[in-house]
Amino acid sequence: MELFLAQLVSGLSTGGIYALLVLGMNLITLVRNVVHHGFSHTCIFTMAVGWLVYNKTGMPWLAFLAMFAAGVLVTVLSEPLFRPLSKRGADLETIVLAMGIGIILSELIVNFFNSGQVLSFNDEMKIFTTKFQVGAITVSVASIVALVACVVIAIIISTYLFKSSEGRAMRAMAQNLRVAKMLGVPFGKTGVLGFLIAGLLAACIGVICIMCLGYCNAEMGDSFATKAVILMLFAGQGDIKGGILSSILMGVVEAMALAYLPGRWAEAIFYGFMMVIIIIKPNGLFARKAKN
Amino acid sequence: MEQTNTLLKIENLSVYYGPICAVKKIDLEVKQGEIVAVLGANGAGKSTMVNTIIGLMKAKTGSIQFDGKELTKMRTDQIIQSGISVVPEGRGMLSEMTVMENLQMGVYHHKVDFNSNLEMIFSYFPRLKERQWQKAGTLSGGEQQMLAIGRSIIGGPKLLLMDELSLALSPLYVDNIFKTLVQLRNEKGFTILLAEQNARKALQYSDRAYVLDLGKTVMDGRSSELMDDPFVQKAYLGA
Ligand SMILES: Nc1ncnc2c1ncn2[C@@H]1O[C@H](COP(=O)(O)OP(=O)(O)OP(=O)(O)O)[C@@H](O)[C@H]1O
Ligand SMILES: [Mg+2]
Repeated sequence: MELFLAQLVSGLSTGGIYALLVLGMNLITLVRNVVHHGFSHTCIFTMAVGWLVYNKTGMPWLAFLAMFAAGVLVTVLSEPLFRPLSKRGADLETIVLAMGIGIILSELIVNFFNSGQVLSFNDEMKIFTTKFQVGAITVSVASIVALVACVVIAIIISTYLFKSSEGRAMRAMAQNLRVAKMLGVPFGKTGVLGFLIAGLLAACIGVICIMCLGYCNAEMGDSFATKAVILMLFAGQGDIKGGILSSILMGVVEAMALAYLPGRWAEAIFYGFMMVIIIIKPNGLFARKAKN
Repeated sequence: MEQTNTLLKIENLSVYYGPICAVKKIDLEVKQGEIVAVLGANGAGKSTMVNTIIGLMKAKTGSIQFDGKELTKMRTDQIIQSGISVVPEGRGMLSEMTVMENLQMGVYHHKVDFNSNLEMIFSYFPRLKERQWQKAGTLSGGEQQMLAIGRSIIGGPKLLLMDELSLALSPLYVDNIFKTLVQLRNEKGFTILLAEQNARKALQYSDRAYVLDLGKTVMDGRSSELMDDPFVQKAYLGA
């Protein structure tokens, strides 16, 4: 029972991180109809920037500030690259572009940060380092704080998308770009706004990952990206609520599989399950009916 | 009713899709408070004209003056903001959004009091009030058309463009919709430009009309007079 609870907390906080990753990709999907494979790399890149600034200055708050600046800069500056492709309705080319951005960010980390070694964060950056005992099990405060942070951020962004006029405009763009334009939604401005929020979110994810994991390296971008892309397609591209729910589900299942299944079968089982879902429910797990 | 100031003036407009000329030469004028119909067969260029007015298509030659502004040099969002609303061909539902959200999108650009305008829309279309939480995509064709009209007027535009309002609606229903438009004009002072294939109904409910043939405005006049014109009767009224 204690093991179960501990795994539940850790699964929920990993799931929360996946949920934010998918949320960020969905924001970008709404405004530019691209699956931004490089979004996860952006999150890791903000972590690397935070590591560098802390190591140079020893000031954690400056490091966090730099992370937000990096997240916004990288994301917003990539918008003009996607814009012409999105305008002409390109699909495959955008995948190349998104992956290219991811690869470039990974190479930057390998070449310019700590000569390609793992970047470990100082306790000052991790903020919460206390752990406490529940029976025989250790629970870290950081994973609980991360979980709460994920919930709060997900609620704020979903509320923005569903209740504010700009958020509604973003969803309108995703549903029917032509109609959205006819209603006066500015293609350029609203798109940049979506990318900007995604950039802030990338930095938030970076901070949460520092708290939970305490380290990062270039490869993490790829492994996050694979999961985030699959989760996003699994829930249905642009499905905000579905993306959050399936991410949390995946986090918990992974944690449970790690604790209760022998060997390294957990991921194979989960990806197998996802493949079946994608084949039988082409519009995602939560799609009510097929669009034609 | 005798208003004289011109709200929209199109001169010598031509529009191309690549090498294909869809609009050759349109000259047209809409005065404040008028209902003006543009009639034409399939492919005459009506939708192209509507899309060019709102900047989704670029004009090759000519000018579109609206309320003192040259629209051919503006972006779509700026044009909408300057006070034009559209009911697009095929109604343009945001089908995954509710009726209420579609109406909210109608005021995206307009600084108006949403709630009081909402009451106004519901008083003209009580059906929308009953259905306000339903997804737009699940409404009947007629209800969607009401929503499209409601969404286009809720922001209080100066000019309404309506592309193929009567498409796929029963004759009785078409009468209802057009009567509502006339009522809206009389009570709220809207100015309306209709692009219509249904020449009979359009002439019945409009003040003036233009006939568009192969991308050119070939005739214009008071709707009541055009209805009696032998050429119009033969070509568009099937008499
Ligand atoms: N995207 C496009 N590419 C090429 N040609 C087009 C395109 N859209 C329209 N056209 C052509 O432009 C001409 C005018 O089309 P338009 O849609 O404006 O006609 P319409 O008067 O609205 O017709 P309808 O009553 O059938 O809606 C047609 O000959 C059409 O084939
Ligand atoms: Mg048309």
